Amino acid sequence: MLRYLSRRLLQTAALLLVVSVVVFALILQAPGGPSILLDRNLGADEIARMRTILGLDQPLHVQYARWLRQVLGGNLGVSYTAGLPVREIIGQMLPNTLVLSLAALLLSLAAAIPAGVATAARPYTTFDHAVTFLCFFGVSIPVFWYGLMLIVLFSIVLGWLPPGGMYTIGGPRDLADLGRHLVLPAVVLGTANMAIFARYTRSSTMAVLREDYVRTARSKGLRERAVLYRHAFRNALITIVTVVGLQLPRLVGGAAITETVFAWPGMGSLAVRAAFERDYPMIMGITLVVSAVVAASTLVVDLVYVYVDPRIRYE
Amino acid sequence: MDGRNRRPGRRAAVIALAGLLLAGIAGAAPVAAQGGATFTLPIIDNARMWPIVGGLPNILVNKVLYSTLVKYDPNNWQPVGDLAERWTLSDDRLTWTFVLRRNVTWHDGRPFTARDVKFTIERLWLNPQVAFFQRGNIAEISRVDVVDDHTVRIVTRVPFVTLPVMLGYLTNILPEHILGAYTAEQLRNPVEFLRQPIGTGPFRFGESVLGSHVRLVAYDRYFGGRPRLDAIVFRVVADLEQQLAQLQTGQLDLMIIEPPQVPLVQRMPHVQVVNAAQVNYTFVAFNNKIEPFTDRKVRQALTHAVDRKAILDKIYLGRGRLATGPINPLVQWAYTDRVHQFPYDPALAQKLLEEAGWQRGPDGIRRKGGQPLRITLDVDRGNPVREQTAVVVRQYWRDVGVDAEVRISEFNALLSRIRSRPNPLQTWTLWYITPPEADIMGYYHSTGTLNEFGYENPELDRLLEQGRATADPQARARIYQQAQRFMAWDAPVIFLVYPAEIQALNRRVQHWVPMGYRDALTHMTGVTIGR
Repeated sequence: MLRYLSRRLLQTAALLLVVSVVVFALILQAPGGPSILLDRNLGADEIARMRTILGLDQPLHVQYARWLRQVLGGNLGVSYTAGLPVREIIGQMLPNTLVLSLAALLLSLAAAIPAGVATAARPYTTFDHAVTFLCFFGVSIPVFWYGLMLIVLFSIVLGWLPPGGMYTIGGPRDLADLGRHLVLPAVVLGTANMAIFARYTRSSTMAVLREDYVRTARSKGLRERAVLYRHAFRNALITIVTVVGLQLPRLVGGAAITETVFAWPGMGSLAVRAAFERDYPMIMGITLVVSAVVAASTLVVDLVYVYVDPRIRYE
Repeated sequence: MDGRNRRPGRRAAVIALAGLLLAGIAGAAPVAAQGGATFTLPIIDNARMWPIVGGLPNILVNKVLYSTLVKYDPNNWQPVGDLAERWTLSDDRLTWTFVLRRNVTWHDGRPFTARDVKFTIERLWLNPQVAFFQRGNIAEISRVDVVDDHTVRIVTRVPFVTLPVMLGYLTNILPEHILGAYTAEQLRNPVEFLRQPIGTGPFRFGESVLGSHVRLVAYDRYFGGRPRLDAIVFRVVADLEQQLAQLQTGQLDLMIIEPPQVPLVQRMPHVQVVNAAQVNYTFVAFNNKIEPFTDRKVRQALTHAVDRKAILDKIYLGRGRLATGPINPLVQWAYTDRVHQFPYDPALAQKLLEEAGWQRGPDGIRRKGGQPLRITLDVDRGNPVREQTAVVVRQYWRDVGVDAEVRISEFNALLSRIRSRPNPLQTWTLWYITPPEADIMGYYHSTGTLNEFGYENPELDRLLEQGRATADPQARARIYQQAQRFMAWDAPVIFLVYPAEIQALNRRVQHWVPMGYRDALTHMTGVTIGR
């Protein structure tokens, strides 16, 4: 197990290196330069001077080497636009994104698992068709439109909830205030996942329900509920864990569209702005942190398999 | 651990979440609750409260956090004192003496003095190791002498009579007592200063929550008297729809809209639409360095071919005024509309093109020496007015036999192409916001650092040089009127519109100064918020 773990960690480090090289090369090739050079009143001399100060006049590999040295020293650089250390900015955005995406994830699981199991138990009934229809609706609906519609309904027409932001500015900043701001983005972000999770839960539970041991359990005279949840669903979990695991990176990377539509101060909207503004240190920092978490989360999922399915072992 | 042990944890998490969401809905009473008199407006990204670098979020926040030596009178856009009380120019027109206000304190309580001015100009604006984004406007300054605590002398290399105007344009004075000890590297990246920026403006730094907002609070000892507002909040809202939603629910008091949003905003009973004056113009630029735009007749023809009045009425919804040249009418002392006009006249346009040697071929496209008249018009993506303008201009040009195309690209990419040398573009449509000045040397002089049009004309060069060196206001006005007449005839670009900045303003906001919001923010002390 320990050897497996250290091998995986080495692979992860190599992967991060490759990702950072590719992203670095790509963003510096993107047309246009950092937005701080785009002021209409900036003359050619000043642009040249700022490029020198930012090191953008150096060849690509020199710039990359300098960035890598910085990162190895634990420094992600300073954001061009905010003028603050990238690490500090990510440190402030990451918890906000986690709050939103965890809320969305829990919300979607809480709805999807019962729905998935229930439809698996009664497949091809009207109830199943209704849930299936809702699932397709949830997956297909464009997030920005859905978000806007909820804003129009709940913020503008009904006036129940704020249209965006995370706290009322100058307000109490308590849980109730956070909750009010969280409802709409969490619902929007959770809807698509809810549909996906429900479908996976349904199909994997249905597959398991055809297994011999389920028939055995039924013939033992167990209640249907016990059969479903203790025997069938637990075995169906491995698929669900995989699917949920694949969503974990999103927890950290943030949902770019949802966060932008709701002005949620998280990693997703930060990444969008950084990309538009060609804030190279910021883009690189976000990429590095998010890919590190992606790598870590796939590792965690692999380890969770051992726990969920006793037949899987790593030597 | 078996299933029974894990369950409570999961259930607790679900219950906690449900509780949180329910609490949200239950506590959902007044959405627009605002504590005290706070004025809230949007910025599209985090602001960097360091007036040495550009970017609209920074510029807006810095307008209220810091002061400048002069600012602009809302009535005539002439420079009036801000940190400076008055100023005089020496007879050789090289030395300006600025007398500073005596009752000014920095937000940490320390007095503001002439040393701060000297430090800001010499160590920040002119320092080659610190790239100041407005350096082009003040680059003629050679040195600053402190006469006493409240008097500075600013010396320029050559006569530069527009200096007072430039000292009001994005040129904030910074504190020597804090930054004086900084190294060049620290002055480029003043991370510590940005955590607690100190200015002399009417509002001092309150808090900055990244990705969320910057809150500035009234400075009790502001030299112009404590502002009547308690706070100004700049909310980070990148998305325009979200801005509109927050305007509707009262979380934003102001946003800048484009003409397509006007009908929507007019349906909001608590919001008024203000046409605010801003020193600007929009244009379709020709690359004067390449064929066929080196030919004045072609430039004139392409200008006559465009119905600018229709563009103003249909695309700008009439919110603005037809442009006659690069000097905005707000610069009253210099502006003249008694120049060559370009009424919509496709017949004349065709005649001019034929005179220039461009004859219609069998396919309707004009040719000269076998070469078709093919023009690409570049525009940035996302701004509805500019995109529509480009499409309409293409059609007008096609009507007179030009094989015209529109190419839409991201602003960032478009501007880098315009700035590459040689500029590969043929024509493009953009805008300029300028200082309230007739001095357009930077944009149209052959050596101008912002001359993206590739325009070179010795006669105009001479006029612009004269204008910059002439102190007598009447003589200056005559020079710039001549320059406007010359440029209107020579048509280096198509001057489209002097557009109003369309502000959607909550009606509870009172005493708002109807200037473009960059400048309105320098007149915030009288603004109040009613109930």
